[in-house]
Amino acid sequence: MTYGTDGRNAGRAPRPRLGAAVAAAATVAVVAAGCGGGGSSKSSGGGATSGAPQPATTSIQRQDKPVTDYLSYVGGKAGAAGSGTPVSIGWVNGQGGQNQIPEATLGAQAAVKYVNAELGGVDGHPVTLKTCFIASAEEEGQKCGQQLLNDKSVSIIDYGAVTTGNQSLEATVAGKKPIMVGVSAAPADSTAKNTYILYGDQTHVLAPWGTYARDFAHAKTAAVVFPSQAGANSAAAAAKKGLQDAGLTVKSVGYDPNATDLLGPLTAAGGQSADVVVPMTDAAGCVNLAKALKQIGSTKPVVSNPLCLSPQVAQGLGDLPVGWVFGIAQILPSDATQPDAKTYVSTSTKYGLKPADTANPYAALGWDEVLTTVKLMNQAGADKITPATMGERLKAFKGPLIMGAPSVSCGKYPDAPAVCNDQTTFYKYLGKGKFQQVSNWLTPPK
Amino acid sequence: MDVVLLFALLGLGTGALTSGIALGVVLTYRGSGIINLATGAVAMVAGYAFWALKTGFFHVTLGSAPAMVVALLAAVLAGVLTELVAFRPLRTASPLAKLAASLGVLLTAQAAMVLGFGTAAKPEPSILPDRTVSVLGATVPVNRFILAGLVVAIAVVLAAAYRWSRFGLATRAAAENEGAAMLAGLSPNLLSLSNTVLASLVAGLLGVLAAPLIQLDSTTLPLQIVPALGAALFARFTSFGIACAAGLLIGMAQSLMYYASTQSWFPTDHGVALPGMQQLLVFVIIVVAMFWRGAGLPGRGELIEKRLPVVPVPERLLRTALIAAVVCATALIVFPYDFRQALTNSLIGAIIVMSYIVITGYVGQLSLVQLALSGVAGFALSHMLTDAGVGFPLGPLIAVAVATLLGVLTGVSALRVRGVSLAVVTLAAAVAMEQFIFVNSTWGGGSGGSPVSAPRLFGLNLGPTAAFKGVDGNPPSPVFGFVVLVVTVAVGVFVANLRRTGLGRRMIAVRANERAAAAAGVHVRNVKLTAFALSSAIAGIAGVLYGYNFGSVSATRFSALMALGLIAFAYIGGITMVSGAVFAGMISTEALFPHALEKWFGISGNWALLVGGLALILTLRLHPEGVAGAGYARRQRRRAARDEEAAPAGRAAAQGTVAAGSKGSGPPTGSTGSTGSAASEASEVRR
Repeated sequence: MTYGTDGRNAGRAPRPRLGAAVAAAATVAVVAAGCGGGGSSKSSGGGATSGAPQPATTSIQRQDKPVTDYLSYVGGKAGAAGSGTPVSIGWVNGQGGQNQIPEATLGAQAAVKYVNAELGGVDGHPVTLKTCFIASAEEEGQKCGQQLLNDKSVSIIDYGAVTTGNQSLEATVAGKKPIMVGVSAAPADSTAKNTYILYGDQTHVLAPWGTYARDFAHAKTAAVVFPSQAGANSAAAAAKKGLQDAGLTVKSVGYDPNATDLLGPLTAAGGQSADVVVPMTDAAGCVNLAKALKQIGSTKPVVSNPLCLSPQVAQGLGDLPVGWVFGIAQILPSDATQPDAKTYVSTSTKYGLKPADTANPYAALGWDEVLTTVKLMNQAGADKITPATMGERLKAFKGPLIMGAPSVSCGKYPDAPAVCNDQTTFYKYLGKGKFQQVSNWLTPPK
Repeated sequence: MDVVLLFALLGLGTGALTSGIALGVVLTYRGSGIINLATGAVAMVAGYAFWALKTGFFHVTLGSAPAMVVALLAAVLAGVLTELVAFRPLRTASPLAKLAASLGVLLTAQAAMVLGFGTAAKPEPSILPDRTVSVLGATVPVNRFILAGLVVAIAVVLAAAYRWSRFGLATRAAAENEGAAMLAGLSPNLLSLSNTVLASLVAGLLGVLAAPLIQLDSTTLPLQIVPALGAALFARFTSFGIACAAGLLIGMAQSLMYYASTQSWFPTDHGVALPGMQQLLVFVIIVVAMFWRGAGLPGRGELIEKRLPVVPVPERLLRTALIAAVVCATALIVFPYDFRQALTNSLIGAIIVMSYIVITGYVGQLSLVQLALSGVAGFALSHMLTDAGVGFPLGPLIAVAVATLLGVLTGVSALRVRGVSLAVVTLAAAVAMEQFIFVNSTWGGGSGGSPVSAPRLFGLNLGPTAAFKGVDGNPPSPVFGFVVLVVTVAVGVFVANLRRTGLGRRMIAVRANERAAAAAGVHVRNVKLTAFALSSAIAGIAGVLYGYNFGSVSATRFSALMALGLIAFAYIGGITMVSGAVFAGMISTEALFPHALEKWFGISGNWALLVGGLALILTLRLHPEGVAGAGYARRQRRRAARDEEAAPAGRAAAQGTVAAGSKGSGPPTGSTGSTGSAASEASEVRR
């Protein structure tokens, strides 16, 4: 069911929630080699860092064990699910309005097909998704909460990319059913009852930015530039804290989210003199920042969130910005050198996910979340799936995450009990669609 | 120092855009006397057209020059349509109706762009060079100087044309005295059209050229009207030179304010610069302009007194309220949970619209800040609960008091202005409050909103999570619906009854003609402030209920553009009647109508903005009283027909009533809809 905008909402600014997008993207990988200008041989339009002194980029050896055997991971039985009573997973996603990220649902649907076709469903019962979409209004979150709370067949609610309506949804569900979140862009998620953010929220996965800047970029000063907007503000604040905790001197400057000329903000942040520039912005902001860096002739290293990996950036600059480093809480879905990414792409495309969509991190998250939910359901047993047992299983879940951190610990942070992960890995863009993983999973600076 | 200079010069870019839109506003005002809120939207249309043609969105890719020509044609077309569909038919309507019509155009244009191009911001290709030049040590993009030079040149040309050309003289003559201009063989309609087209051209040009400096989306350019109105106010909606200069200065001031916000001494909110300072600056500029220039805004020498929608005196009030309450209470119990929630949403929507009835319907002041005041109450409630531990019922009472106080302060700032000018200052206030208060994580909700726990009285849960469920046994509990229903009925009865009181009659008198009302002994200022207080309190009540309803309050819920949509629905329902507010509530977000349409027919609300904008224009043209007013007029006709049958002797009088009702003037029940009937209102006040 899609809940549209109407009435008073008609008057609302139908503007994409840039801040929320920034926040969300700060925790996941976006796109990948395929969007790197299509392997264009053009140089970075921004030319932000080409020729710049770069941090150490020695290829790293992954220390974690990637999840590639899905059957073993979910604990299912090979073969198709039977025709028994379906087991339902509640699925909430932001789509149909200003928050257009339907790829999360596509990933989840592909995973459901895969589980039913090859992993035996849940104890032989077929799995179904009970979906509810939030277009743009707070009311819709409440409506989704009521719908899934009132649906007795739903024992667990999974979030796709939900940036609006979180608070009203969570206030409605009020912990009566567990909520699994892939990545969180809404601070309300972090303190919501019976909620588990497996891949982490912005506050915690941005902290390792400091570790990277200190230990890999060997920086002493940093210039953080971000659109001054709800979501991005908190993402920038989290990055700033991480950098400061690592001992860096940080100048953090917000700019009007509607501004496209970032020469002023970059100058105000000390972009010419800082050891490292940290854009905490969306794709359009990345393009504009790359242009501003070019205007002031900066050759400083840039450590960015992965929204700067989007096709829009490649289109705007001719290629993704070469030499930029991207911190992400997920293995790049289209990094074909990674076995878990390879397995995900080959399997999900077999079950309906388009190759272009596999590169979208939210599609990967939808896929990952459904498989993890099925794993927990199999652990509980089909006949014992209740909100209580699913909550217990989630609380006890220690990882590993599919294409994510090797281990998680839900409840580790008392002030953000829903957060399960604080680890991030870093990639460097080499040009022509090629990336190099330059760090293992880093934790916040100590 | 060079950095300060850099930021001052960087501000020339947005300043030029502000100037361009301000010039468009002045042009339209001089041509037709309309403050066109849609001028920024026309710039948006041109910006989107240029982007689409440059990027092959329509499967045709053009070079910059032809794309620019077509984009400007699109702007002209938008201007012509605006003139023919919205402005010309309302030439003799009240300034309030004209302003609301421009709001309808804004909403329609916005919806068309959203439906046509989606919601994501587009990277507008830049025509102007992005190379930089060094000015006293500051590296400044050269496009800033080009844009500033362009608007200055346009202002000079326009000023010269209006001073020395026949067209300019004719426009000035029509603005001075339409009747005399017509006798001299001039066509006010043609002059109005010409000026609107010129305004569209200027706005469109700046929309294409300056959009690369800001974001091309369905919000940014339309809302650029706010600083542009500030510049136009300084120019008294007349002087092109002052409008241009003020626009450029506003842009530079905003840029310098931004630079200040990057300094360590600047106040912060959880580590980031205090948000909304630039919007607050624009609001302050507009208030200053209002006080300095507002009282002397030029009026037009029109012959016809403007009619406002009828404000009927309610009859059988308690009976109607009782029946409605019983029906709603029953529905809350027997409806399935989703329709129960939709009904609750409808009732809350009706309450916020009732605040418009008091301030706009009764007093004729178009306040666009009502939804923001709801937000203030919502956030105050949340902080009262979470920070101070003050719960129900003291918490919501304090929250409503805060909203009331802020509403009165807004009213005080606008006391020197009448009618539509208030819309300007309240629009700026709404934008400033959204950015300065709601987005602030300390006193607003920050990025994720602010939680609101369920109301409890003597341990009894009165919120949506109360134990008692409806017939289907599912949450939300009807108990919260009952609470909302009781409040809705109470507010509805109060607002309807207000029309029958002496205060209500004084309000109508002020609406009809402030001078006549003052001559009749009405203290206009006190009446206005009382109306502001009452409407703000009602808006605050709605905000409190919003908070309890969703369990949270967030900034997006109370945005300025959302407020514009809300007032559109208020007009469609009927801005002068409580029944109109009820209708408006039922078509609001997730209310009964949209929910039923979506559930039964799969019609998403994405088209609602377009329908809302068009419906607003049509309503203003065909039935300014709205749906409720039309129903009232029908009932009056039936009653007149019955009276005619029962008492043939009274035929002549009854026919008079029908004619008056159908044309928008008041029925003989003591109501009035005409400023021309100020004398009768004054006599009613004296009675």
